[in-house]
Amino acid sequence: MNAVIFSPLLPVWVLGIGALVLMLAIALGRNHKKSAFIAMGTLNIALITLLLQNTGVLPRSDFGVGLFSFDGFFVLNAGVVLLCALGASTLSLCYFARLHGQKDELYLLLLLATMGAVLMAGATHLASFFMALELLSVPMYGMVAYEYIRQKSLEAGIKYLVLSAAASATLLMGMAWIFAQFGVLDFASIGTQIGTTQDLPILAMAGGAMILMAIGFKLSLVPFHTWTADVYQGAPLPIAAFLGSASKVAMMALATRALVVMGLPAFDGIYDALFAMVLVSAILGNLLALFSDNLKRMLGYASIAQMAYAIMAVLAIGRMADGVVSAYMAIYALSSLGAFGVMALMSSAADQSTHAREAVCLSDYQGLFWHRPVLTVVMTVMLLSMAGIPLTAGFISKILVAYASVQGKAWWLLGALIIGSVLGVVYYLRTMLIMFKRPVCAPFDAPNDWARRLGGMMVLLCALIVLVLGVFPSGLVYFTGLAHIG
Amino acid sequence: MNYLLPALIFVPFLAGFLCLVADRVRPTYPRYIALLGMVVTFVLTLICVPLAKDGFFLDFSVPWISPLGANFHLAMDGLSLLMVALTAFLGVIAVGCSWGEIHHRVGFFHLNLLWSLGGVIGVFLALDLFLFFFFWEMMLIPIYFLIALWGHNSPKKTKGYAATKFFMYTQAGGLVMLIGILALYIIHYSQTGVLSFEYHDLLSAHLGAWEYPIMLLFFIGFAVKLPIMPFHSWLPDAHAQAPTAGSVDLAGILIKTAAYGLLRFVLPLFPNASHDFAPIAITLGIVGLIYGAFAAFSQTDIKRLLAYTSISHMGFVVLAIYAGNILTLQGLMVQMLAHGLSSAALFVMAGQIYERLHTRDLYLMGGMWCSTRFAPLLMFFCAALLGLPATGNFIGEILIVMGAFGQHPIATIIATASFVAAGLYALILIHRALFGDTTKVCAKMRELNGREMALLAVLVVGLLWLGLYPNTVLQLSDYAMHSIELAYGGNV
Repeated sequence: MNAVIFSPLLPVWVLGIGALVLMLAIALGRNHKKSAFIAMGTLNIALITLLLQNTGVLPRSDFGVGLFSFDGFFVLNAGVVLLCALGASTLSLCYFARLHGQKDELYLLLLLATMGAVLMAGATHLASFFMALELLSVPMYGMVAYEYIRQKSLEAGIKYLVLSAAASATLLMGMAWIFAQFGVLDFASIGTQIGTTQDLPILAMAGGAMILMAIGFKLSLVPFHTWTADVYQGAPLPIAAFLGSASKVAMMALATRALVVMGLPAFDGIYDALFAMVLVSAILGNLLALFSDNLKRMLGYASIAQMAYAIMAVLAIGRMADGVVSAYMAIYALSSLGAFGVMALMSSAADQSTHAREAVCLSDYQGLFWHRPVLTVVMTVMLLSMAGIPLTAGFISKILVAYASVQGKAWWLLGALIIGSVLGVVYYLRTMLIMFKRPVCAPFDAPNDWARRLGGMMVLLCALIVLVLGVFPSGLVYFTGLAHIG
Repeated sequence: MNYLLPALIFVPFLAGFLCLVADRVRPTYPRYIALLGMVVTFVLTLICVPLAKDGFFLDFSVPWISPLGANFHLAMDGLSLLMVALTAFLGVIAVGCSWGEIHHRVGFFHLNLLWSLGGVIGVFLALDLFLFFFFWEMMLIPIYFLIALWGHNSPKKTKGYAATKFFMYTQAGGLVMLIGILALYIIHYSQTGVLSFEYHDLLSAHLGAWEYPIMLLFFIGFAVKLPIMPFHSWLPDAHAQAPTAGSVDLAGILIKTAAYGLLRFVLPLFPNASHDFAPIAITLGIVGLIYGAFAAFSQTDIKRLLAYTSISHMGFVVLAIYAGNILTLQGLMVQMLAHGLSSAALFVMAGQIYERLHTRDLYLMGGMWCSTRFAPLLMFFCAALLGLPATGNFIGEILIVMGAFGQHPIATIIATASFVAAGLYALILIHRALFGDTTKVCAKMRELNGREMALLAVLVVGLLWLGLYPNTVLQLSDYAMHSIELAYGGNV
């Protein structure tokens, strides 16, 4: 019994119990604030247990080790996921206050999705891969469509459901073929089999290609990227923040582990396919972002390129890239949480009955600096971090990726990284500049007490972390040393 | 451990931040704070002068990113001392010339101005390649803001376009250089097992076949910023759209960072590859020299004209660097300082004309002789630009030409011939601005006031000093230039 309780899955147990408690609380009486605080409390306890278990304060058995791996890579990525979920729930508390309708179930979905995301960071088996991925995806459909009064939201939910289900089906088929060829399901054994096979078995090749497709879809690499901008645009802002941070981190962790442990890139065809996907994504994602004046769509397209940068490190140095990918994704998640957070704060004061849309147009931010200087600085720091400009952590994480690519002598990827970054500068700076222009009478403004609200504090904290890590990056580099697979 | 060096960087940063805060109290305060900040910085560099000895005489190093082996390592030798002094000096001028020009968001303007200057000082002092790159990239954002927020829109191009173009070019160049830095770092690590971005450590790396490609990566990074011919098209746009202080910043200081980078890093780190590359670099330089001169001649916008003269002068800089003997290097030192002062002065005057006439089109000017203070000053600075004796530009150019003739006679002859072209653009500028129908502009040509006179007078004194007694500078930079010559030439 103790072995089960003190399994390294304890944080996941906590999340599950939290979800049950929340469900009971909703049954007893609806209260938006109460539900939000139960969710936040659960996430906090999960985070604390994760830390306590891995610093040796709480005991840790090895229950569940067959399906999951609880290495440093898991701990750090799961921690980042929990932090992002916490951030997204503080934003929801601000943002959904304006929504007329039931708000409590959102937190239930959020906890379940977080559970899936945490499990994804540790999955080492095709079964746990699929289960964790679905546990993240299915609540996501509901969350994306939660603000169903806005037509875009419902549309995005359904679009995400259909496309994601198609990707999951592909994934399942790919797994079946891999199993048919090798007769094993855990990553390591598949990796050994692939490593010792001389010729390319066509069945495994096809299976690997299908798994790669599913990964490409979930990370929204070109050519599987078309859903991204629509879903980002449709999702309510706090959910977009979750989608752009926790869900991306979890997916990248899973993809990295699957790719390097299974050794899929050992197949020439699959390596080439992934290489081409990354190369095109890094450039096309930025080009698409360049031509959108809706901030959510812009960040959606930009995420295509950002995911491509992270995968570059994996392609260049394989297994050694685990730390770099984790650090890159942690900083990206923090920046995108902050950016979406600012947008959510800007939209949260507007009453839903008078404002059918959110503050997502570039023009909504014109001259923001002159009446909300601190909020503008936060947004500027986030955008600079995503663009990889010094004094922000994004600069260091981009250098780490470049460092990995130089180590792997991946010159083509470096070329794509440079072209992508230069294109990226254009739209990140454009967005930044508009906030410093002459103010106009804007339809949106953050509530006057934004900095005293939880969401506001979270956003300030994100900016602070990004700045501190940008000036004193030792911590970040140390982080990369801890996040090892296996 | 000497705290003078970090102070040189932090004073502008701190003063810039205070400007933003003071703006809330009263919009005129930021000007005084910025002026004070830059004067203090300049005084600090003057304090460094008597300390000057051979080699790196001031050194400051604290661990920064220890897992990667990057330190916050600043050091100063004669070369960096002179460059920092130029930066701080032109910083004072830049603050002074914005006094009458900038009326909106004054605090934020000075924040950007001072942070860009602080970043440039950091570039000149950093001896850790990671730190160098950090400052190199960091100074771009404030300059972007200077151009994009306080610049001028011209009929064809907006200030946003010019600022973005500037940022894209330099960002691309910077990232190419980053790859070079990382490759150098990895090679050094694989040979010694020590993770280090230190300049002195990396000097000892044996690069073998990698030397040429890595040198090329560095060269591209610096060539974009200098700018050398095929990478130059951002400069005229940036100048034409920038506010006066931005132009002073760009022409006087920013493009000198690239020359400094070539001197400090490319020649000593990659001496053999640089020797092999010298003919190509010098050819590019000479092409730019001629092209810039003729392009300047055909401009009608006074700031675009000045921008092209900068491109032209960078041809001399490249020739001097790649000829690489003590004569050309010392000439280069004087030339960089003199070009910084004379181009800054001309941009300041262009700004003053714009404040009065609200145009920069040379065809709409003419007849400025009626202004008795303005005309002689413009004549003087044009003469300096052209390199007439008694100005620092003459000393610089004559030393470069003398030194380079032995190794690259043909290039030197062509470069000398370009003085004729320089005469053309300087004279056309004087002709169009000063001569002709005096009735058009006279009424609008308010006389220069005391502040404006003071700014220009200081620049005149500086240029004359460089021209009449260049020894002050030459003594300071002598040892640094000798060691660069040794590192570059000693390996032949």
